[in-house]
Amino acid sequence: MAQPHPNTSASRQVELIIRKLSSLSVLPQTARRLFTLFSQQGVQPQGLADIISSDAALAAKILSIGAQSGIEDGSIDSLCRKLPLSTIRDAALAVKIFEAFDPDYDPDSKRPLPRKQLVIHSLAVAIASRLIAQYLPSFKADPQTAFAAGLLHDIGKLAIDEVMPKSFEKIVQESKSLSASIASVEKKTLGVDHCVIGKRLGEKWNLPDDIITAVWLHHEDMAMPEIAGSNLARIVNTADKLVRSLSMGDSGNYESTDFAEDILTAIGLERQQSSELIVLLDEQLQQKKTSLGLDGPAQSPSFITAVQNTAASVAKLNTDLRNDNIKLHSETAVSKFLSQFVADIKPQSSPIEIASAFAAGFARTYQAGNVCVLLKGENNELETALVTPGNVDYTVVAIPADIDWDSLRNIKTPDAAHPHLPWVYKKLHDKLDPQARLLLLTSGPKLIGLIIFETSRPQLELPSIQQALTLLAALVALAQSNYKQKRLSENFAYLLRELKETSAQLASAKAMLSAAELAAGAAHEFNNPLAVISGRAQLLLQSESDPQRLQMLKQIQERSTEITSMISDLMYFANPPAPAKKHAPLAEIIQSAIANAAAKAGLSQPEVHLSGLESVPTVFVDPGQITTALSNIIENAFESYPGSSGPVDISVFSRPDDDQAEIKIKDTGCGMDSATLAKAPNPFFSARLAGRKRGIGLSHAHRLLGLNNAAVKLTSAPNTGTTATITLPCRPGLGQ
Amino acid sequence: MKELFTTGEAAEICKVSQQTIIRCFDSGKLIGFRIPGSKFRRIPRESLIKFMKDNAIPLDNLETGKKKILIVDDDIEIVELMVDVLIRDGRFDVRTASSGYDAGLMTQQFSPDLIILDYMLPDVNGNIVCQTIRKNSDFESTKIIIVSGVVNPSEIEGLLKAGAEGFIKKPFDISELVNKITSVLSLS
Repeated sequence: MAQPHPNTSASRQVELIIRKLSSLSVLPQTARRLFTLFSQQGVQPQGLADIISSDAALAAKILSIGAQSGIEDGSIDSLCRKLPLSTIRDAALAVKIFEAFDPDYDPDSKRPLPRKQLVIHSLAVAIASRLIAQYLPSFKADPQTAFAAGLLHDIGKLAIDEVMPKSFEKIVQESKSLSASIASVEKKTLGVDHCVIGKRLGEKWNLPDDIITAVWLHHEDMAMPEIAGSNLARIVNTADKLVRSLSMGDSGNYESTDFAEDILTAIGLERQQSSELIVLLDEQLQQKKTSLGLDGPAQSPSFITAVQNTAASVAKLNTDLRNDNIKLHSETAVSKFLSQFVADIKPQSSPIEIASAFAAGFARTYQAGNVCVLLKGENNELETALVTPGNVDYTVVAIPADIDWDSLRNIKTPDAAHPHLPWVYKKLHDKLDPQARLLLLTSGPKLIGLIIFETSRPQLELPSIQQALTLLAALVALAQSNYKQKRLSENFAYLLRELKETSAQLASAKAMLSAAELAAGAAHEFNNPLAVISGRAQLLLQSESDPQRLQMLKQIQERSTEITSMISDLMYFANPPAPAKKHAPLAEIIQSAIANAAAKAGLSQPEVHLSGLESVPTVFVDPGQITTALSNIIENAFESYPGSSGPVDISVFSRPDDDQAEIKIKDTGCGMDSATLAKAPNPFFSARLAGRKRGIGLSHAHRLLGLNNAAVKLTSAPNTGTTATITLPCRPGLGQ
Repeated sequence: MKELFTTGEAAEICKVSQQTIIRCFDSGKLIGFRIPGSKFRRIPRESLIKFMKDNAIPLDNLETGKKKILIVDDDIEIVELMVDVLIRDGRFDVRTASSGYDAGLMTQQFSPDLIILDYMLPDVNGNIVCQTIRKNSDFESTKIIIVSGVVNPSEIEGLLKAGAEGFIKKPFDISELVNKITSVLSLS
């Protein structure tokens, strides 16, 4: 898989791959229950609904079928009653159950986010959404629909986990270590987040509109426009926060939350109702978990193998049936192809999906081999669908700089494609026959795409092909403009959220800075009175001989010196000096930082374990400022041990060709809870009793590191200690 | 301290012409002696002081041997504190000013050896005072120490660039204040 990268073509790649997902894996526990149920005589719809409504992947499929059959109902319960049982069973089997039975797959494994935990989270959000909808009739949300929306709100995460599990692991880890919103980490890493992926999947699967909206906007805190599903989105948003604050399951999102009751009162519940709701939520979740066997350990491997075999044979039967269908289709005439093609297209289909549906039909009708459709997108890229028997590969091909796209319009068709388009063949790794022919897709004077198809026929029915091409071009052009608008609205929602996040950050940074500036301004006024107090005390000291008075005068002098250094810290924080960066040996910086910290903490023999210092590089920073910053962090580490002096582990990681050096400063002292951790960089915040000690050290360190394009990440837990990870640039111009 | 004066120096100090001094010397009103083997007149310090007192001439221009320091600060208590410290030390002759304008006037009249200049003055900033004094060649040998509460090394550097010889951070340690003054004035 291509390395995910936050640029346009990567994010489109991700979208294309997501669209290729026809269904998601379900949980082994769910599958086991389903098989038991289907092997019984006389399945009860209620029992079926129970199982389906506990699994996001299955529920999505059933809702999708409901929509296709014209049953406009967001509730899984009623769909299970209304739909023929056979339809439900086939749908359930079509979901890729057997993949979940991969023997290597362990739901309780050491992965940062076990699938089981995500399912418990989804279940809890579903139950909470239903309860909130019941408690707040003014929201006019159907409780059962709210349940479905809650259950499905994270299908985007399931999809990312399914398609790129490694990346998803990294995303979860990063969200955890930064206590950041998982959506913003996804957006940064993949260029797209689980909300939009969930929306796309919802559209693809024809889920009800209000559920799609809720899935899409469940991370939006701001007041939303009155569109279908905006109330549902608010309910799910609240339910999600509630469940995270109660630590039910694990959603991979480690953004900090308020207290559970406050979350509920914020949406309009009475405090009494809030407490009731939390109790009900806990009860109902326990019930569901027990009835679904999510409490128990994973089942034994031999059982898994047995079910896996059964599932595989059922799935094969299904595939054979589908293949028979395809044969039948291939015998239909051109007109049937076109009408079928038009019928296949849904209002939500993206241009490339329309094109690939066309390609598949084209291959059948004209008995072509592999067919590749290339559509011109923005940024000089071609969105590409390569249709081979039983498979579609989506990818993005960049148009080389020396190719004049518009001049391709002059190629005579159906010429052989390879001489005209060697760069396309190269990008597709020559998966197409060099003898394949080329067709142009034009809309008015514009060339909007290309079709390359393998054929063994000497004669082609050109008039009918031309007719099909015109239809395709019109549909693609229509879909492109439609799609652009949709993307626009999605991007708009992103922008709004980003704006909100940045403005919150800015506001807190600004508040901190302006408070510091205000204080620094006032501090300036303190200097004169302090100079007089301390100066007078010193003068008196010189002519005093009474020991008691000497002591008092000394106190006056020392205390005013202390105030002076506080004022200096403040002024320094409000207006730090510009760093004088140069290449400096990191080992020396670390050594003097340790010495400074030990001196400040009053330790003559600090217990410090150093490692990785043998091969440390030079770093490009202001050595004085970085020494101060590191020394402040190390001092905090010393002070995390009440009444003792360590141990503090300091390790340096860097390879010769690295741009950055990483320093880890680790203590196993008192540690911080998440609330303290979030406030730690604030100046004058200290977890110690007020007045005991100034808390500016860490914020000062943050400030200085930031000035030097360096960064610090803190992870901490009460009574297990704190680890500060600092990255320093090794060359000019890095990390800006 | 200077113990012997020529008639020209005595004229300068008393703000009279050299002829007048010579006349008074020769008539015995101003006691002195001639250098043996030459006609040059020399006047000892004590007899010059007696002469000045007898004729009601102000002693201001007679060098006391003390270094002249001008303290400029708008905070009267800071000024008093510094005056107390410097008088107690005994090596300094001290005048004060409370604004940039006063500082300019006093510099003209008093021609101090050293100005202790607060940066934040009510009328102009200390660096402007500093630059103005530096532009006047009469005060080439006048040293300046700026006093301020700033902590930022680059700001301090900026103040020193305006032409000051030293910087003292407010609030200050009084012995550091004296040390700074003696080092800028190269006193032992």
